[in-house]
Amino acid sequence: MAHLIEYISGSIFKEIYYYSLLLSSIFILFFIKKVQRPSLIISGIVIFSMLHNWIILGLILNGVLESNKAVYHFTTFIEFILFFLFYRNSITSYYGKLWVLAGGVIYFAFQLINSFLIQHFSYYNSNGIIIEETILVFYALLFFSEIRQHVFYDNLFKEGFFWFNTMVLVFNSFQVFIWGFQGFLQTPLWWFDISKILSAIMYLVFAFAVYLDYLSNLSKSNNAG
Amino acid sequence: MQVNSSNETNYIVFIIAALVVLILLVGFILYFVVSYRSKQKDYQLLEDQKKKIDEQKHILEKTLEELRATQQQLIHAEKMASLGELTAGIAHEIQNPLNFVTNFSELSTELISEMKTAVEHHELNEVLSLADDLALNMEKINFHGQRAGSIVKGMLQHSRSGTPQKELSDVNRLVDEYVRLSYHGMRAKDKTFNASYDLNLDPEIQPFPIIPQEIGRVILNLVTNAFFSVNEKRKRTFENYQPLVKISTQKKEQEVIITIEDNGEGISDENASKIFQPFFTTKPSGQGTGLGLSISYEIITQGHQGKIELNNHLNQGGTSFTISLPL
Repeated sequence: MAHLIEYISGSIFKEIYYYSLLLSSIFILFFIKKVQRPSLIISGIVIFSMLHNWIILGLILNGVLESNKAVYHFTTFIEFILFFLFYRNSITSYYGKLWVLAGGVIYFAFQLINSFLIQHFSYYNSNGIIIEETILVFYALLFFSEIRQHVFYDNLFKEGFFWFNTMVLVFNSFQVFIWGFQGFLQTPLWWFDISKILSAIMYLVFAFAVYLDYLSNLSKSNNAG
Repeated sequence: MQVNSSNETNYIVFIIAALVVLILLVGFILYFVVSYRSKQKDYQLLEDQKKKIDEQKHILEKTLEELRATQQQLIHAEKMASLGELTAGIAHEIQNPLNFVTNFSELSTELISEMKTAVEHHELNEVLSLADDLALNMEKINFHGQRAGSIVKGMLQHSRSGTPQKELSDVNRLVDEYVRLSYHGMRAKDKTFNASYDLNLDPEIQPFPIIPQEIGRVILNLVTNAFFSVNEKRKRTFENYQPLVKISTQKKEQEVIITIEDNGEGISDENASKIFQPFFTTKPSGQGTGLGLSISYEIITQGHQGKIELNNHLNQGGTSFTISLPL
């Protein structure tokens, strides 16, 4: 544990990233019992990210794992399943669900091919991550379109799912941009620090989204009472 | 030096590209929020309109219900009004069989007294003959009693509310009965009433399914109107005018035709188009509800899937109504 803290304290950006993840997860635990199913999935995404980031880092620092390259083949896969379940639950139209399913099938097929035939488990899962992030951008746009079409919410800014989706769109768009940019020119190193901050903000917003859903449920149950 | 320059260009391109991505994202999210709010407003407007329409629909449904209830009350009121018109006719019609019943029962009392005398004198043949006469009297009393009973039954059927059922009925008997009721009703109501009627009933017509009390009401309405019209014309005409109402029945292939024709005042073209409308009447105030013909129209077209037509003979004088009832 001392190694872990020492390693994280080495950079302000790492500190922000890891402690934000931890803070978001602890914050979510206070409300997790009284939220809707999609919020449970968001909670799952945050807690899973926190656990795998902290545990993998701990295992590497303690010499149990040599690198996190192989692990990312599994964690990206599990993370995508959670996002897939969220959008599958939240998008209600027939064609919307069909598109979500299509995105899922494309990702799963590509991830399997990538893990077993292209990058294997000994390389970093960059192809899988790019595809995951591209499909998440597509899902976010699809969900925005669905929200607009069916006018789901009375007050958009009080809706946790709106904030969640906005963050998914912003974060993953930047990630796709970075990966795309790296194909042609070198991404400046400082950008990876900014990316860590963006990632930290994303998890905090996810936690905030769960909290908003908790508040909304609370007011509904008060009204019903 | 060249590496530094290349790195700088790289940074600038990166920053510009990142800014473009940022602007696109912010622009998209702003566009989304603005368009969502605009759509939300439209949606709210639509919801409000839907709510208003629902409210109006509810009010309309309630009004329709009230109208239906009022319509039923009006139909019943009209029935009662026509029943009132019938009273005199019915009284006349019942009076006849009652006279017979009274006379034959008096005669029967005399016959019994004669029979007693014959029994005392042991005149068996005379007793038997008197018994035969007595049996004949009883048959007549029974016949006229039943006749009075059927008139009362008809009157009760006429006034009953609810949904009557079709039954095999003799249209000729019905026409005959209601024409006489109407005629005697008019005579009882107006002492100066003077008109004749001509019945021409087709003996080929067999009983067929109709709602007798409803068809009776239609005939009563039309014949009473015809008598009213000829009587009004008679009052205004000093010439040698013979007020006449002709009623006929005729069997055709798939229908029975009932025609009621008069040589009265006729109906103007303007009024002819309105006569089947509810509350339309040309009779003086208090003498007609304005519902008779509209209810008749409903009875024939909706209750019996038949037709009722007006043939105006304004030039020659008078009108005729033709009713077609499918067999």
